[in-house]
Amino acid sequence: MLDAKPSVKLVTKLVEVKDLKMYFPIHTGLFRRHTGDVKAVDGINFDIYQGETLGLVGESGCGKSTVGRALLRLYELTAGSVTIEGEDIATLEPEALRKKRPMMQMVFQDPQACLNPRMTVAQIVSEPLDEHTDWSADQKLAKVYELMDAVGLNRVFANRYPHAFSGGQRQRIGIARALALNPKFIVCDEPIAALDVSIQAQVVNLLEDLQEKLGLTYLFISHDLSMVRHIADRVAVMYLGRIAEISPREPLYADPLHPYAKALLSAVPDPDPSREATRQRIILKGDVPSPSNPPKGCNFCTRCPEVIPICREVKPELAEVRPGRFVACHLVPAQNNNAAGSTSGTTVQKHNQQGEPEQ
Amino acid sequence: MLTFTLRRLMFAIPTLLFISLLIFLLVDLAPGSPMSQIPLTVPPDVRLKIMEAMGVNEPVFVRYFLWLKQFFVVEPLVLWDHWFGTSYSDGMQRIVSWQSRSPVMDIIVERMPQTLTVIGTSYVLGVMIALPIGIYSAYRQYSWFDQIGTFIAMIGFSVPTFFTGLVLILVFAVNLQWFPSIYDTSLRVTDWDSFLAQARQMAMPVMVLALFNAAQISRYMRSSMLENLGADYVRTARAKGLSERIVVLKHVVRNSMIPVVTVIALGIPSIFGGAIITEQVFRVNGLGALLIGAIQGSDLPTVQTLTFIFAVLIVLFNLIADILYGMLDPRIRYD
Repeated sequence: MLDAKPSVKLVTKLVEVKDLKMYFPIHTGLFRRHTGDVKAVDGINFDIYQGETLGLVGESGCGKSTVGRALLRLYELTAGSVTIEGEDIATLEPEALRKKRPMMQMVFQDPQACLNPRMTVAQIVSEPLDEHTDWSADQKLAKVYELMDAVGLNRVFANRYPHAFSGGQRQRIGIARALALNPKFIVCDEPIAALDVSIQAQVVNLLEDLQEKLGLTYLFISHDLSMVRHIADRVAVMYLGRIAEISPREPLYADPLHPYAKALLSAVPDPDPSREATRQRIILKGDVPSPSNPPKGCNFCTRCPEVIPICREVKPELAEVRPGRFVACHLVPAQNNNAAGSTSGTTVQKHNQQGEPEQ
Repeated sequence: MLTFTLRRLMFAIPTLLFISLLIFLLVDLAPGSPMSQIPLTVPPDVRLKIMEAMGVNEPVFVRYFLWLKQFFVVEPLVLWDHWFGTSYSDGMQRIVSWQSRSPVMDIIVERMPQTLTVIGTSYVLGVMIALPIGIYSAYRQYSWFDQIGTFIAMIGFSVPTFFTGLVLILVFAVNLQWFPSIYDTSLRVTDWDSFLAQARQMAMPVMVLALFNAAQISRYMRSSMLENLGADYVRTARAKGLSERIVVLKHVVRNSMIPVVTVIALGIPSIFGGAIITEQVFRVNGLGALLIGAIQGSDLPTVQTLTFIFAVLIVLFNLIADILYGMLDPRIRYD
């Protein structure tokens, strides 16, 4: 499970998300007046570095998928900016956005629904090439075959329709499609959630191989914490439209700082029976509040086992509390004891990047 | 697909036989009799002779099987003779209308062109109007265009054709005097003027029926589009960086057309069936008018034959719709 990868690759930023908000309007009444918003994503900040895999975890309904889609502007953002390779995706004109699409792609959750049932594999995979290249039919077919080889699909299947494939094969088609235009950044929106466990490993290994070969950058959205631990370099934990904690993988799994991250990670079963027997689960009480009416203050305050009065009043901002670790919690103060000079330096710098007011 | 078609055609035979029996019994058991058409002044023995000549005095089942023979043996033979100049059907009794004493099939062939031109045009026009409206109002759901389209569709749906027909007559024939209110069957299109006259007399019935058809089909198209617009593969298409036109026309519309094509195919028998009421309103001398006349005159053979032809068409177009469905949707295979 624990692949030895360099924990954090601090190279160049590929994706920079600033204060991203994605509200879905609620219309009610006779005249369908705008009466409120589902705050699916409520102001989040993070960066993704070139060549890394950022895991995004959280319970269902916390806004993970919305973040993934908003990053590729499959939704119109309510506010904030998403800068990919120096261009702000959120404000690009439709035509410029279309030209930008080849470098950012997505692997979707439901491999059955995300492929057009009336197109063959070859048509599905080569359609982006029709749109973005002026290749001849032979070149395109050669590329289709190349991609099918890359994802481990037999070439003779090129003229079959998606319904003729198993779930794992369909997900491979989805991956081949995403790779067709040589993207740099791929959002994997729960690519393994709809697959059974034996196939999950195949697909995840395929994604890892492709990353190594093609130098891809992933945002890996999942609710499978052990799979995220396997594939991600850094992990962001989301709760109710906000990021609770972003940390490098190992420190996060070893010592989660945010109370929600603690509770979430305590739910991961341990394969060792003796350790599993002593595993202390933190059971959260109550339900997730409605994202259309999140609580005042910290949005986790209604269920937090360690809640203190300030949590119900002031919304905690995401701050770097340890080198490379960002937590949004009043209970986790910044520690500046070790390597004080450099850390505080980065803290200030990160604060600026996050676009947050300095406290 | 071929075996499927053949199997379905085979299963259609008992279905149709049962339908024909049902129609025959219904028509026969219905109140009203051809004898009521014979004036009371006719003496009883002459009256009996007339009934004998019509074959009404035979029991129901004898008449039913006789009709079956005439419909499935004699009439096809007559058609064969007509096409190839042979004379197999000489001396055989054809299905004869009690009203006009001429073969029912000849009357049907006579009436068919009017119905096909008027009702057929209105159907084609209705489909052509409905598809773009359905596509655009789904694409811009809850926009003004969609709201107005929904409103007009509701009117087309809920206001009966005899009412819209009369309103149109009042406006366009009586007040504006643009179009004639009565359809002239004897008009022959030979030159530009007669074509214009034909177009003018067709305008109102076509408008009435096109509104009705378009209302129905645009609703189907809209709901099918809405279902597909939210589908995951549309998001995939957008993520591919396709232009919005290609996303909608190539991905969404093509998939949305699958159920709509079925609905359109299933509506085609109604063209042949004629819009009975609309034909009455505008005096279009088509199959619908023929059926109404035959029902009023208790003309059993005509009613029976016409209704059965409609039944055959409905069964046939059901099959065609299924085959089209299988051709359009690769997920459906019948073999």
